[in-house]
Amino acid sequence: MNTSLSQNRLLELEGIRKEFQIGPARLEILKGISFEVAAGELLAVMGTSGSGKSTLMNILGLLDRPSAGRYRIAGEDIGQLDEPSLARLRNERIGFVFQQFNLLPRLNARDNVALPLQYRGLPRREALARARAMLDAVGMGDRDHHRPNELSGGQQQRVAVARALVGEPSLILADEPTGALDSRVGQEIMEMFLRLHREQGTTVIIITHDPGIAAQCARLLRMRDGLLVEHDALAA
Amino acid sequence: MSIWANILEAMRNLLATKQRSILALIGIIIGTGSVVAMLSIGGMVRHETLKRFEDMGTDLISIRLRAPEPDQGLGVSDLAQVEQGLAPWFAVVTPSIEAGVWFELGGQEQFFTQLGSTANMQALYRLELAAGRFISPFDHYQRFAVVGQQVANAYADAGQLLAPGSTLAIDGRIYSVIGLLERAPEDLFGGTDVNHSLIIPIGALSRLDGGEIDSLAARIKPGLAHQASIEQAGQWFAQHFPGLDAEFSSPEQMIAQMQQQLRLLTLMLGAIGSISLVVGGVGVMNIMLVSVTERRREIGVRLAIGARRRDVRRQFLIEAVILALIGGLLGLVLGALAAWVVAYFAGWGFFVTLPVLLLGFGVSAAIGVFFGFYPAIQASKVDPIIALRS
Repeated sequence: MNTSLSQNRLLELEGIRKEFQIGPARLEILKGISFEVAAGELLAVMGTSGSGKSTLMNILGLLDRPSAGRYRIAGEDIGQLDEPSLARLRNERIGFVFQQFNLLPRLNARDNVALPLQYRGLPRREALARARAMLDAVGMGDRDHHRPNELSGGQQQRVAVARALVGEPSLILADEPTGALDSRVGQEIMEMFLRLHREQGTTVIIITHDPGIAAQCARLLRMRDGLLVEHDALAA
Repeated sequence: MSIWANILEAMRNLLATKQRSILALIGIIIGTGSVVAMLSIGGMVRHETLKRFEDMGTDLISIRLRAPEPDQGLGVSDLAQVEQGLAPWFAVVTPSIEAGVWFELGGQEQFFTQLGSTANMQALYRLELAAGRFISPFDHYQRFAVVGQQVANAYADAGQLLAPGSTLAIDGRIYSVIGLLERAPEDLFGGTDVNHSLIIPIGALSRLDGGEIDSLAARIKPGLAHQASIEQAGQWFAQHFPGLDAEFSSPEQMIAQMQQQLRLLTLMLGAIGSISLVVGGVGVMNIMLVSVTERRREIGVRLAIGARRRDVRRQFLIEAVILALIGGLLGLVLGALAAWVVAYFAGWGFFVTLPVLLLGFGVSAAIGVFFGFYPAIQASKVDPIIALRS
């Protein structure tokens, strides 16, 4: 078990700290966080607001750099990378799903989903074809020309998941993905993640307040005051 | 992301904010419009000027003669020597003595010029006859007159139809009409309006009014450099007639002068155009800065899904350039329209040249790049964490 884990280590965090300078005061948000995530894990991160989970999320998603500590993705040390390389890693390795969906309002569903591929440099035609296929896969194939404001919250989140998945990332980072949805629709989205995890072995990290959501994940990290306080391994 | 994808997105974003985009462009539209209009109008004026000389030829030279001291002037008897002396440079030389006269005809005050000249004059100025013949070398001291078109008209208005063979009285003199001229260009090079003139054998007029020749007109021999020929002819005059001021002028000089004047006008209009373009550029910058602020969240999302900062910068830069180009395009139309209106009322041939259009387009693109750069930099500096929060 341990050997297979170390062979498949997707994320490795060692002593991650993050400080912010707010005026004269220095605020330490993350106070030394270490954990590993194996490829194919479904992981929940819970914690009250202010616990540092959003900051952790930003670091995991390569939107922010730790003040200290080491972070590796698939063995690659993030601290060594410049901004364009981080952008490339975000594009190829990470798919974001946000609470507020964050689809671009002026683009239709298909163009939204195609965007990560276009930033990867794929020809527009190919990007659109793959986007179309991904929308089919999340059950939104018949809405590919709708703009976000013509879609319900659940539908928008499906499109957003398609956008996160279209680049075949190693990691899906979902920040309160069901937070803006009613519980029935939220559960539908959650089931999409479960299916992805089960059928395609995608690594998924879900940040949530919702114990019901967290309970469906194989593993739970609890944060309080910038530290991991509990390191649960629930039954799958 | 490919450039086409960028352009497509830029168009989509601009269309979403049509109204304020157009408002921001007014400066660029006016700026490009005035640049295009002024260059077109300048081009048309130049064209019209050259066309006028084309009828007459640019090899025509006028030499105005002045003798500061009495009896130093050029007389009719010197003509043979002058003609011979100038022969190395000038093919046809014709002298003129001008005697203007006011007199009353049919109750109207009229001003006509009695123009003493030689047979060469017809060929030199390419004058067309309506009737009769031109003066000839054999007319010597005969009081013959070839009548300019306006003179004939004035007599016709006063009830006297002139024809070869009729006589006319002017200022107490009697002339026999031997020919009538077609209408000639008004400002025939040399300054005298032939239409308001009676052309009289120079021998006859010098007997009546004294013999000093006022001016010479000539054509430069084919193949000679104009300016050098003029200078050498001037030296010849200084050598052989030291008491005489010979002032040369040529269409080339006049064209050069006119172009000089036009250049001034062009510069002035150019300055106005530039100011409008700067104002327009600031408009573009402003709209782009507003756009960056409004779309912070969008920028954050783009960065999160893998856009590099330079992708974001390029996207906003392209948007600014396209915005400016749309303004430039509208400005081209406006400028061409203004030039057309001016051409229409001035009676010129209207044309717009490709370089002018390209310049107008290029200038607006440059404005887009220059004034779009700062907002694009601002866009690329958006912090995705802050933009995605909220």
